[in-house]
Amino acid sequence: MKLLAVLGSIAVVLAGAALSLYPPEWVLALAGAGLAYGALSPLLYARRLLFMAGAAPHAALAAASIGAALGAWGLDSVLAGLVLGLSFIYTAGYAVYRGVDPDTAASLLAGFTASLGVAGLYFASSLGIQVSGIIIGDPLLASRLEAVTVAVLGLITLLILARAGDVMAYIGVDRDDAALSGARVLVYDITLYTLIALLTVGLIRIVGFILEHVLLLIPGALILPLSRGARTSTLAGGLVGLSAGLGGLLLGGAAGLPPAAVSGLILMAGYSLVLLGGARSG
Amino acid sequence: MEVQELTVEYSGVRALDRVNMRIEGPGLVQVIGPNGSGKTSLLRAILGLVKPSRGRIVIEGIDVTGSPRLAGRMVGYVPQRPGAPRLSPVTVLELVETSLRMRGHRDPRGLAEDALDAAGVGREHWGKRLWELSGGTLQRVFIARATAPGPRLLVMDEPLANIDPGGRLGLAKLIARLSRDRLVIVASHEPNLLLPYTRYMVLVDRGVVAQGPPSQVFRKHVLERVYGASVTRGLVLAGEEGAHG
Repeated sequence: MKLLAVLGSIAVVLAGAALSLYPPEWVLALAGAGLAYGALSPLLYARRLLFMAGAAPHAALAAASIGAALGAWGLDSVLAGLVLGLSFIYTAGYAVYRGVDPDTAASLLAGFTASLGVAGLYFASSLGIQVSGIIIGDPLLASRLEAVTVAVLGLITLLILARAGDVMAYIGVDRDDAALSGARVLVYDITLYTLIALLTVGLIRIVGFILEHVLLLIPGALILPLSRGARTSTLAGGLVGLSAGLGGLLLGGAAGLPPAAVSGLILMAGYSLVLLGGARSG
Repeated sequence: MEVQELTVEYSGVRALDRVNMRIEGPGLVQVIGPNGSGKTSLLRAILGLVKPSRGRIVIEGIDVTGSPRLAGRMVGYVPQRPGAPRLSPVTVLELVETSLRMRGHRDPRGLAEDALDAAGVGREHWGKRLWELSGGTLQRVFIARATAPGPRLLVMDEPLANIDPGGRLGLAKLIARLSRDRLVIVASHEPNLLLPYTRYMVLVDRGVVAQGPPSQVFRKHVLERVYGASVTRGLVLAGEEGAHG
């Protein structure tokens, strides 16, 4: 509880500072993205899905670039990207559910979608579509509607994981006993993979392909040595992600650097401090 | 608990062939056999986690074949080599409590604490994450989880494997105590430590080779049918309590 109180206080101070200096759209977009990725991150460790978290941005890049290209043909590019991204990640998730080793499934997903992503980027570029936004992202270009959507997505992620994260983490410890207990393991798995897909595909234009890896992986590595219990880790991860997002906006604004990049650096600095502090990191 | 004509196949390869057994509790039952003999397949079929190609499992009059949800209402389970991913935040108390809550128990905290106490897991461990525990303590935590809902049948897959000798003795005594008031089925390929407490033995090698009291099954000429020369070298029969015959 002490950890959550400290992290909550930092988040509130940063939110106040960011709102006083920048448009609310920017604050909402970065806070929402940080909250979503941060809350999800500890669960990726608990479920041994780190390879999957590394592969998911590749799937998102392929989906978003092909979606953008399809947009030139009159289709809704965001919707097309989401459908494609969900299909890629559901396929990998189903393979894991059927007993394929998670790392193997993730490797296949990364291999397939990385190749597809390059083709998608080439295809989209040849149609005159600007693809740099997908690769490096820009939260400051988010419209009011997009910013509110990102913030809502962050809150929904936090609520789902605060409610069901303990069972999802339990499945990571003993999937068989979860089935014996009567838990609907498949439903929990679909929920988890849907969150991974939505956050990577849906937020790729906000944080960019490159930083999605950092934002998915580092909050968990930072917070798990310090926290105990699935719910505490989810909340702490969410607060760390939110603080990193807002810290990135504030420091990035002061230094003239992209906020998402500074958020990643803040997380890495935090992780280094935890390591130096000697917290038991497994 | 009754197993009728149980046949388990994986991709067309038969792991168990027409297993029949009927066991009543309380008491300790050891399922023994070499690696790959089908011990784990038999336990997983009893738990409903493996759908057999033929046959059925009946527990307390209810057909639980291929239904972990049904089996889980009556059976507690201790898996082979329990553990948690590195950095998993799940704590000892949380594991047992979540298991009980998923099973619909109203007071999971109280039941979890009682079960951990009964399994000999010291309170100093309750707030620890699973990956921080020693093998012996972790095994006790999973035993606590399995016994917390009060099942009348307990299934344990090689509970003494990978535990240091001192820890094994303590765990063997705990398993013996648990078998006084429920049926405990233990898969093992080191049967000696639990032998003094064992009421019934099942020797498997892709099917039941022999079953009955240890005095009938744990004999050199019976074991040689499965283990061959390793019996004469003492690999199976060696142990603190020796063998029957």
